[in-house]
Amino acid sequence: MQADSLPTTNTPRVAPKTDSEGSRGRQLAWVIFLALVLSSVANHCLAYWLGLTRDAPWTRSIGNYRRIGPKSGPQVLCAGSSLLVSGLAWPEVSDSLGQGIEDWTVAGSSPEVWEVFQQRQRNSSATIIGVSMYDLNEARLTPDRARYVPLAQTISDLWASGTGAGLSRRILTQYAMVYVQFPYPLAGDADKVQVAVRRKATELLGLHAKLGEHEGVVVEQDGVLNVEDARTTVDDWPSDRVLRRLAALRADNHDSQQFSNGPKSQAFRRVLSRAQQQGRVFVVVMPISQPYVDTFLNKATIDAFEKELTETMAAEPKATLVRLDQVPGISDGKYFFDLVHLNSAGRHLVTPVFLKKVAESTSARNSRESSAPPNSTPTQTQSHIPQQH
Amino acid sequence: MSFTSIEFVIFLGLCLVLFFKTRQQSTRKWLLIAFSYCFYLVFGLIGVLFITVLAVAGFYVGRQLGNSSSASTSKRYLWLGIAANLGALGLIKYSGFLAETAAVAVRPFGVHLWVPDHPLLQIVGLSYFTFAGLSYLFDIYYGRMEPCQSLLEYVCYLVYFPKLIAGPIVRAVDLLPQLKSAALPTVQDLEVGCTYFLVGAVKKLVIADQMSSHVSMILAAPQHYNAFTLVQGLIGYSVQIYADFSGYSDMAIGCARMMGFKFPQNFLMPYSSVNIAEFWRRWHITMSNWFRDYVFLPLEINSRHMRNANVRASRNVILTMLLCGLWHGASWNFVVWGGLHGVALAVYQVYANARRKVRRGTRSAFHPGTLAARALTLSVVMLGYVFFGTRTLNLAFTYLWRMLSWSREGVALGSPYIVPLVALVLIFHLLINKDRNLVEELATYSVPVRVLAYGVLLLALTSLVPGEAVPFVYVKF
Repeated sequence: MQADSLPTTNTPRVAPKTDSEGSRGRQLAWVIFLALVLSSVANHCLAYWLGLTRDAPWTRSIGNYRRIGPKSGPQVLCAGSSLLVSGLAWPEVSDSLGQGIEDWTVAGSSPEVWEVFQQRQRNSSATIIGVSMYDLNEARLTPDRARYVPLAQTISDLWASGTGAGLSRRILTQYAMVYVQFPYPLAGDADKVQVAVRRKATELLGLHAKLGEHEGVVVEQDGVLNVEDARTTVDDWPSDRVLRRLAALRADNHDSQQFSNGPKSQAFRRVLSRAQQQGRVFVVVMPISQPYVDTFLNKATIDAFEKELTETMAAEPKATLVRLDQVPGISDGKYFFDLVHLNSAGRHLVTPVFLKKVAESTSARNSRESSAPPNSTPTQTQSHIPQQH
Repeated sequence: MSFTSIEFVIFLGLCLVLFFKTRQQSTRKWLLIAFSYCFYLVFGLIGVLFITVLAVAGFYVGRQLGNSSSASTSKRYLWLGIAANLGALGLIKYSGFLAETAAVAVRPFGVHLWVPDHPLLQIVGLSYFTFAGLSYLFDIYYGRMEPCQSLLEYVCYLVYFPKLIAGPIVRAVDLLPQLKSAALPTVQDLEVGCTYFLVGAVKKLVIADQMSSHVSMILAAPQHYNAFTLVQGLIGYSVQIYADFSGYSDMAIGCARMMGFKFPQNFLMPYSSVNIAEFWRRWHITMSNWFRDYVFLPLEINSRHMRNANVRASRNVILTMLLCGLWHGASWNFVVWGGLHGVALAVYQVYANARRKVRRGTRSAFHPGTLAARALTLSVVMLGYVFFGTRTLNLAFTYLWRMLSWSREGVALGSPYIVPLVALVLIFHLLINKDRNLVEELATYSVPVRVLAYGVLLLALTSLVPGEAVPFVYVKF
């Protein structure tokens, strides 16, 4: 080690002169103001160019509305994330139920957001709620949650569920971020910005823009609840792509799996209860791919999920539970186009299972109603009993 | 409460407003203590109680040390202070490591020792504030300063929040006189402080955090990746840890500077170093100076009877760096890392003494000799990072073996973040004079230049910041 050292910083300070300090202070104020304005304008321009603009923080976002099937009569609410949307063949489901189906989509949504949309729908006679170990993980936050869920509701849920300080801080920070995103719309979305920049760069260079690896969302037609054929599979992915995607998921969920003591479990129970009051309820447990299971889940976490699901369903015994995650072989990578979303093959495998369960539930219901005393009020009417495929 | 969180920005803003509004010097100290305790309370009440006890004990031991009439009495008080600080550090941070090491050592003899699964206590910032307290006692003992007469001032020095969790290790001889001073910060202090804070935030959030997930993945399981990926991961880790830690230090320096307190620099373009000795004059400067002044130099003085200067200096520098490694963490990985650097320093010192050639003038940064020296220094540093970044010695050796044998088996993981960010940092180190302090200089430039510079930094920060920040790496030490 050398004996010489860098000088210490204990230099004596001189009392500042008031006039020059005053003018320097005003100058600094101008510098800060102009820098903030310049960076905000640049941020807005960049957001516009990349197509990543946002609503003002005081406007409540409404999600992306889509529907399928007849517009008249009571509708079915599809309450789930893109896992549910990509997981079922909705034209077949609508035909089978004989009803229109409505959905409001938000990327990476979870029960607190579905609850908001559930309150918006007025004419519902049935609800299909899609859950999974990915959706219900409290440690994975919905990216734009603060734009949909009122702060008061969040605080109430955090308090009631006894959520830990770390997770509470993460969730509440999202609300502050909404206001930061007013002058800086790109704040907090580095991933999206970089994907968008890469796409723009490939377009400008005249290259074919390949889909990036952040395409965790379903490709669908505008306004129509239907999913385009996605035939690619996770099995086709090179190992490095799987690892990068797992790293991104790990960053999202902070390498933690938690299915209770959080606002998602609270909201799921409320969604289920409200749906039960409105009519029929199908709770669909969506499958996830084997690489995801192997990386993030173990017996303890799976047991915790099952326990939470059982307790929630026990509170609403009339709801029909459909375990699509238990369809034999469904976790195989060939049924997924990414680590959590089913592809066409997966959809075609699980949709008949779902429809069969709907038919069984309808039959059971009809037989209960037909065996009820003549002067009892029927609980629900269905316009169409589906034929099994 | 992380420096990069919104709640910290609000906390800092509130602290600054009240600090500027307070005219009374003693009231300002109480204010700083109150805010520091609030800051530290987030990490647990145990830590708050612990640091208070240590501060009070350190103050009274320091007073007795300074007032003692005989050398033997002073020495006794010094040892008391050392025992209190290092004893606490050893018990809380190293008891598990020692127990595990002892258990492994006696297992071949059929003896099975119980080893706790988790540490008894976890006190954030323990390594930093115990060293700050020790530096106070050492400086009194060596006559570099008089003992502090005000408990309020000493507590304020020890718990002051910008440096509490992860340094810089600011010495009492540097900070106490500033705390005593009645002068308010100037506008220049405020601007320079804000710039440091902003630059630190960009380093941490835009550079370090972007690479974190990929680099962690590679370091955690090197057996899965091919050699090219391992090299990429190692280079990425080198840049990540620099950006993370220097970013933290910049933010700490900035917070303090906004209140008019000047902290010493902690990082000065370390990857521009042309030899390992220079690297340690530019990397974690406050820590390396601490070990130099309080471990290496006393060892040198006490071993001056050894005639062979090279053997003496080599032995002492290796011992010092082994302790430095151990300071970083209770793990053999850190000890090996420290040992590697110690050996490298010793080898360099012998080489430098043997050469005895004084170069007149400095070579250009692009001179082939300079570039080669920088590359060699960086290679040695990165070799050490293999041990620093992996969790176990087994993983470290696996990493090294697969990388050095250029294993083609395993996944080739290309990261879209590592290459451009590494290139950015290395180009910066190449083009900018390593002895310049651009942050301090920026406040002296014209208004348009400053507006543009701050605007670009803010744009980078607001466009490329992920939704959630990754914890600072050096906080765990």
